[in-house]
Amino acid sequence: MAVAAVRRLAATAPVPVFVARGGGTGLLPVELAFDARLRLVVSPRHATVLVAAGRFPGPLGVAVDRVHDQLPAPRGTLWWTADVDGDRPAALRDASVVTDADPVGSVVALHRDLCLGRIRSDAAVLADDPPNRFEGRGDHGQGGEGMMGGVPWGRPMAMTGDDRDGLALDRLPVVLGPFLPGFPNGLRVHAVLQGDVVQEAKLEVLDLGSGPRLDRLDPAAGGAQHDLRWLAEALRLAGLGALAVRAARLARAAPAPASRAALARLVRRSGLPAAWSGVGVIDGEDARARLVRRLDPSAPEGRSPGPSLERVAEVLVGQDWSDAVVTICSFDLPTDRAEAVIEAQA
Amino acid sequence: MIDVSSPSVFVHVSFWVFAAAAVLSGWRVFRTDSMVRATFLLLVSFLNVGAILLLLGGAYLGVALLFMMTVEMTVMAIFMVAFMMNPAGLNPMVMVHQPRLAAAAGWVLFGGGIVVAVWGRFPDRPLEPGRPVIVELGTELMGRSMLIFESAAVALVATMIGSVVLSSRRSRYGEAAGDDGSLPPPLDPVLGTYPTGVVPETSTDGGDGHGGDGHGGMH
Amino acid sequence: MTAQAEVWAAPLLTAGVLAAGAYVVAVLDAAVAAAVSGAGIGRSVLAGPLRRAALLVVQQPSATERPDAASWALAPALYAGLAAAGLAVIPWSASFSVADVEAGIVLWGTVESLAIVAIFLHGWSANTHQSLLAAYRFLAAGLSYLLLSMFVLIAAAIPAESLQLSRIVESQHGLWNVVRQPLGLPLFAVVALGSSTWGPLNLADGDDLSGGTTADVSGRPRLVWSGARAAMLTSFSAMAATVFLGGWQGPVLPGPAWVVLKTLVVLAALVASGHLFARVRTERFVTVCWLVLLPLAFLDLVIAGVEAL
Repeated sequence: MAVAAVRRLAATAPVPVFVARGGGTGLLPVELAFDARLRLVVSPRHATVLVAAGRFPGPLGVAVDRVHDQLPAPRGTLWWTADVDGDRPAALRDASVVTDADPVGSVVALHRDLCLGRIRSDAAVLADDPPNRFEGRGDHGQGGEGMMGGVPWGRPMAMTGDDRDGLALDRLPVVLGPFLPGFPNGLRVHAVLQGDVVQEAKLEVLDLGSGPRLDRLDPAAGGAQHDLRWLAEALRLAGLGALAVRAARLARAAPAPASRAALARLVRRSGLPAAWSGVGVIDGEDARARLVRRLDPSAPEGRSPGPSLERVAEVLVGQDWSDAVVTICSFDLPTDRAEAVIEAQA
Repeated sequence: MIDVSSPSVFVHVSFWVFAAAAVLSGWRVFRTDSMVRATFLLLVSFLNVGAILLLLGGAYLGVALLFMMTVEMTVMAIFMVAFMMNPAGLNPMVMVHQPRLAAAAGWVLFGGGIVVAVWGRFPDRPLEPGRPVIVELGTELMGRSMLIFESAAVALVATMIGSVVLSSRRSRYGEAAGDDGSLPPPLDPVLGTYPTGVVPETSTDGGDGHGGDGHGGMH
Repeated sequence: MTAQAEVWAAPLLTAGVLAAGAYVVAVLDAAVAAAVSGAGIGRSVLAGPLRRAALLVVQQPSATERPDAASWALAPALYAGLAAAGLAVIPWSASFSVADVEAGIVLWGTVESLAIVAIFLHGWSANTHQSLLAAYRFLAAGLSYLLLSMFVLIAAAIPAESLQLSRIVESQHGLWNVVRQPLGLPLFAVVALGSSTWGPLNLADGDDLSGGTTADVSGRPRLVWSGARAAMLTSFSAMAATVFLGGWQGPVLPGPAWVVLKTLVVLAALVASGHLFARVRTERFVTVCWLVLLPLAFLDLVIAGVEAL
C-alpha cells in the first residue's frame, strides 16, 4: 500500500537522465536540460534512464555497456540515433529506439513504466567479474611491489614515482572518460595523479564512426547556437545549473540579442570568468578569455577546431584535476563537437 | 550538566562504554590496513577519551579535546591521501614499524600506567555544582601558564600554515605551474634539470600500474 | 514540561526541525533555480522535493568494488547526526533550548570539524577516483575555512563573556552582533556554505567531478546524504541567526518565531547564492582564505576585543 504510493509518487518525479554522447551528436543533449520533465544528471548512479545518443562503434560501445550497468535499478535505456542500422552494443540491443528530434516523451514514459513496475528493469549486460584477477604477487597479493602498486581487482593502485618537483611520492594512474560531464565526445584521459595534481596526461579520442548527424545546427544561427550549447555545458560544470538551463533554452531557437546579453550579465556577475582566469593557457589565451568570447553576441561566430590533443595534454600537467576538467571543457577539441560547427558553416 | 559529586548509574555505565571503546579503537589503529582508517580510528579513540573528560565534569576540556583532535586527525588524513592515494584502503598496508620494540615499549608503559593507577594516590575532591570551571580555566590559561600555552598555540598555527603552504601547487611548482610547466631547480645547469644532476633512467615497462582499463571512472 | 517528557521531546523536536528545514531548503532551492533559469516558479516547486525523495526510496543503492563499507554507510548518518547536535545547542527562547551547554561555541566547533571528517569519509570510502578527488580537494578547503569560524564565533563570545549561546543572545540586547561585528556574519556564511558543501563552495559534491562524493551513491544512502546536507545548512542558518541576528529577541512575536524567521532569511540568502555564484577553484579559495579572509577574521576578533576593553 505504502510502497505502491511511494512508487506512484516516484513515477511523477522529474526523470533523472544520464546521457552518453556517442558520434554525430555534438553538444546536442544539453538542450534536454531545458525540459522541466527531465533532469540531466552527471553520474549514471543518479539516473533511471540512460539515453545513449548517436553512434557507438567499437570501444565506445564497450564503454556504453559499462555505463549501462552502473545505473541503479529500476533502470531503462533509450537509443537516440539518426542511424538505426549502425553499431549496436549489447546495452542497446533491447533498448527502445528514438529517431525523432525530441526523445523527452519516450524518456518520461519509460521512467513511469519502470517506477510503476509495468516493465522490467534492464538486466546487466556485462559479467560482474573484476577486470583483473587478484594476482598473488606483492606482499598482499595485489600484484604490485611491497605494499604498493598493482591492479588488485581491476583498480590500479598508487605506486611511488618521481614527481615534477623532484619528490618521489605515490602516484595513482587513472583512466577517466569517455562520458564525463563537460568532456568532448569520445574523449578519454589517461592521467597519473599525485594528490589531485596531474603528473602525466594522455588524451585519446575513441572512434566516433561516421554517418548522419543528430545535431543539425541551424546554418544561419549555427555559431551562436553552438556557443550557447557550449555555455550551458560549462555553466553546469561550474555549479550554475539554473543558468545552464537558461542557456540551453536560448540555444533552442535563434535567441534575441537582449536575452543573450542578460545571460552574459548574469554569468559575468557569477564570478565564473574570474574563477577561470589563468587556467589552461594556450597561445596566450586562458579559459576565461574563451568563456568571455562566447558570452559576447557580437563576436564573430564559428571557429576552427581547438588545439591538438597533445598540446592540451601538455597544459594539463601540473594542474589539479578540477582545473584540468575546466581546461578540457573550455576548448572545441578536434573531436565530434567541432565538426558540427564546421559543417554548419560550410 | 552532570552532577559530578554523586554520579548516577548512567554515568558509571557511560564511563565503561567510552573507556572500552577508547581502548578497542586504539588497538585497531595498529591492526587495520590503511593509513586513513588508522587515522580515524585514532580519532575515535580520542573522542571517547573526550567523552570521559565530559563525564568528569570538564565541560570545556572535554569539548576542546573533541574539537582539537578532530582537526589534527583531519590534517593527518590530508597528508595520508597526498602521500598515499589509497581510496577506501584497497591496497592493504601494515601499520606498524619495528613491531617488537614498539610492543616491548608499549607493555612497559602499560605496566607503568597500571602501577600508577593501582598504587597511586588520587585526589578525591568532587567539584561542587555551580562552580565556574570554564572561567577558572581561562584565568589559569591566561594567567600563570600564559607563556606555555601561547607558545604552543603559535607553534601549532605556524605548522598549519606551513603544511598548507607546502602542499599548495604554487609552492611546489612555482609561479609557472600550469602555464608553461615547471621543473625542479637544477643543481648544475650544465648537467640538466634534475636535482641530483643525474638524468634518471627512463623506465620502459608500462607496468602493473597502467592496466585495468579504468573500471571506476568510466562514466 | 516534566523531565521525563523532555528526554523524549528534545530529540524529536530536533529531528522534526531538521526534516522540515531540509524540505524548506529543497523548496527554496527549486524556487530560486526556477527564477534564475527563467522558467517561472510553479506549483511543482512544493511537490518536487517529495517526488525526488520518493524516487530515491524506490531506487536500488549502488555497490562499488571493495568500498570501505562501514565508513561509507556511516558517513551520511554521522553527518546527519552532527547537524542535529549542532541544532541542539541553539536556544529557542529565553527559557528553552535542547542543550544550552556552557561550552556551546566549542561544541559547535566540534560539529564543524567532525562534519569535515564525515564529508571526507563519504568520498574516500567509496573506492572510486572522482569521489576520492572530491574528498581530497574538499579537505584542503575545509582546513582553510575552519579557522575563520573559530575566530568569528569567539569574537561573538567576547561581549557575552561566555561560551554559552543563550548568554551570547542576551548580550545582543539592543545591538545585534551583525552591526557590532560587521565582519562576522559574511565570514560565517563562508563556513556555512563550506560545511554544507553548498553552492559556490560545493567542492565535495560538484558536478565537474560527476557529483564528487556522491558520484557512486544512489538510492536511500543518497537520500540520507542530500537530506543531511540540507539539514546542515539549516543548522548553520539557525546558528547564524542566533549568534549574529539576535536569536529569539524581537518585538511582538514569541522567541521561537523570531528564531525561525531569522533562520529562514539566512537560509534563503545562502540557497540563492548557490545559483548566482560559480563554484570557487580550490587553489584560489585556499589562497584567499589564508591571505584575505583569515586576517579579516582576526580583525573581527580585534574589534570585538577592543570594544570589550
